[in-house]
Amino acid sequence: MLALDDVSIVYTTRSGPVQAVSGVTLSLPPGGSLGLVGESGCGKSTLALAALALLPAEARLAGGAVRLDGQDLAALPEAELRKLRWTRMAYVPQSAQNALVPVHSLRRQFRDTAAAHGMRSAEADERAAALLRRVELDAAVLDRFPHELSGGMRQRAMIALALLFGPSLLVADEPTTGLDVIVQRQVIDLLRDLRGEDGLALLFISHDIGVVAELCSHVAVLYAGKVMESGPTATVFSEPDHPYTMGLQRAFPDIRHPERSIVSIAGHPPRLSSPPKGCPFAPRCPFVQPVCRDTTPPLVAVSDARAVACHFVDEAAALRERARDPALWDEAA
Amino acid sequence: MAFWLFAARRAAHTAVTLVLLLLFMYVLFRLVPGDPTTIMLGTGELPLEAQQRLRELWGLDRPQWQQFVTYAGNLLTGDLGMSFYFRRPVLEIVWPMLLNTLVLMTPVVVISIVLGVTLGTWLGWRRGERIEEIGAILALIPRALPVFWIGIVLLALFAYELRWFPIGGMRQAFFFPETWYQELPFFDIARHLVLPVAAGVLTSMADPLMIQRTALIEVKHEDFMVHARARGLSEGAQRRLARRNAFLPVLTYSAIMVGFAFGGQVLLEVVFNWPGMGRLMVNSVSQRDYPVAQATFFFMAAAVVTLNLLVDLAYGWLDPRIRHE
Repeated sequence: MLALDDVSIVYTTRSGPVQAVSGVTLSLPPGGSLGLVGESGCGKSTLALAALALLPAEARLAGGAVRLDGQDLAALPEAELRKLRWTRMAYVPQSAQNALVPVHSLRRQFRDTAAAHGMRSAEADERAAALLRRVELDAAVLDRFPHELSGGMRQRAMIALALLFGPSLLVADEPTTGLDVIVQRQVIDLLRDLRGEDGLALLFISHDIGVVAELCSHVAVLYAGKVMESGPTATVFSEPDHPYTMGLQRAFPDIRHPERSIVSIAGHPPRLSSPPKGCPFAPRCPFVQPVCRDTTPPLVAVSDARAVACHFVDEAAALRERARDPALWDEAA
Repeated sequence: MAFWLFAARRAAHTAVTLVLLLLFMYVLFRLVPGDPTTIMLGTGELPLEAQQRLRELWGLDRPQWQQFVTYAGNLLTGDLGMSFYFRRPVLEIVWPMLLNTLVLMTPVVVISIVLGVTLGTWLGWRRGERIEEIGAILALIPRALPVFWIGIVLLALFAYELRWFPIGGMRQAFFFPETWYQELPFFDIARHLVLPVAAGVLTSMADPLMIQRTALIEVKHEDFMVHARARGLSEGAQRRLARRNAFLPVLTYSAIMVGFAFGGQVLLEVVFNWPGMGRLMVNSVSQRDYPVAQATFFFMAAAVVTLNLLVDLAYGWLDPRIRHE
């Protein structure tokens, strides 16, 4: 249903072009769930906007295509895109606090959205009440203003609003950022229940691999605008093939292995305005070899479902063994 | 309930402000050297005894605090005193001028704000386009020009050369309607209004326009605007949403603008020979006509303060976030 084919996105900035995303290929089947993980600035939010054809004016699709059910979104005029938006693809943004219109009640926001697609107010009210109950909110919140709701209520209202037309794709960009853990849990549970319901496909963006592991059947690990590794979530996180995934995985506490120490990957992601030659992760990789700094490894399929962009993918098992040592990550870079 | 508490507190603030204002203006006018009698003496032909008699008659020889208490007390009963110059009650002098000024300034303010917000929204929405740069400059040009100059140019062109509009004043003496539309009530005043209103709008429009434009450019980048686009709102609906959210700073500015409108625009009134508050204000000051001068300034200041109160109350209605703080 959603397919990103060799997508590259360039931002035009005062200091020159910035390649935010380069050559990303992803696909999300109907009812499926795909997680995008990576550090801040790895291009995951840009990809989310590209999937919705909502890139800001200073960003442009420099290559590749974004297809929704085979339809190239870049080829569609704005008027056609407008019809697709929210009816076919909806969006739960990072901050519900700022994404809801501050001066309008929720009812008004449901109605305005409905009106944009020719749905009458009475029907919108009815749908809104049902959806709010679905996200376990009282329908009375319809007459509240965003600032009168708690963070968790706002985010759930946001999800209810996203479901107004029963879209087939839901893009959620770090929907739990800024919420306390209990509320985060509620929002994640809600998304997990909704995923796959009526064939709803979920594109979930997060820096938290634990949440992605829970919500998504498939995952793509992004680094510096490129896919480092992709595949079924269960195997990618249990047997990471890319050193970056190995580091990322060990950067989060694991409740099943409390004795494991948490590592931080030394160094910073490269500046995308002047990307380094070779593998983008090379400057921070503890296993770096001369070839890594010269040649960019292509993303190659290692099995039916998995793909990895690393020169040493054949030695992944040995690297995984060495990656267990926390000291290794401290020494790198 | 919380709203009424807030409203009551704000109203009390306003009352205190007005009393202080009254005191301040009283002192200010007394600081001007000379008193009404010196002006009346003019060339000094009147004997000094007569001047002294006048001072006693008007109470100008009493201590200042006594004069103030008398003044404030009379004001509370609606008595603004007698004009030293016209020898008639102040209200009789000020009231018609205030009405004339409102006839002129109401259209100026309303058109300026409506046009300013509309054009400001339009320009802000097209931020970065060539037309936006040109539009912003065009809007600023008349603001940089003196209003009397614009007035004179308009008069020279449309009144003197083309003879479309009268050359000044508010009514034509002995106006005889010739066609049906000339018989409409206010037709005569309306045609006298066109040029001064045009000059006023040209100069007053730029501020609300630029404020709205700046606020709109900021609002455009808010998350909720991206979200509105994601929701499939039409461009018009998105723009209306941005306009609504960008309007609050203009509202604040409007209150001040409307308040000052009560004082009229002196230059506009002089150029177009409009019998309004601005001219009365200037004349009464130069004639040391304290009661009239104080009344005109007080009317204007009270209008500014009261409108600020109204806007503060309206804010809560326009921005629900404020209502609950």
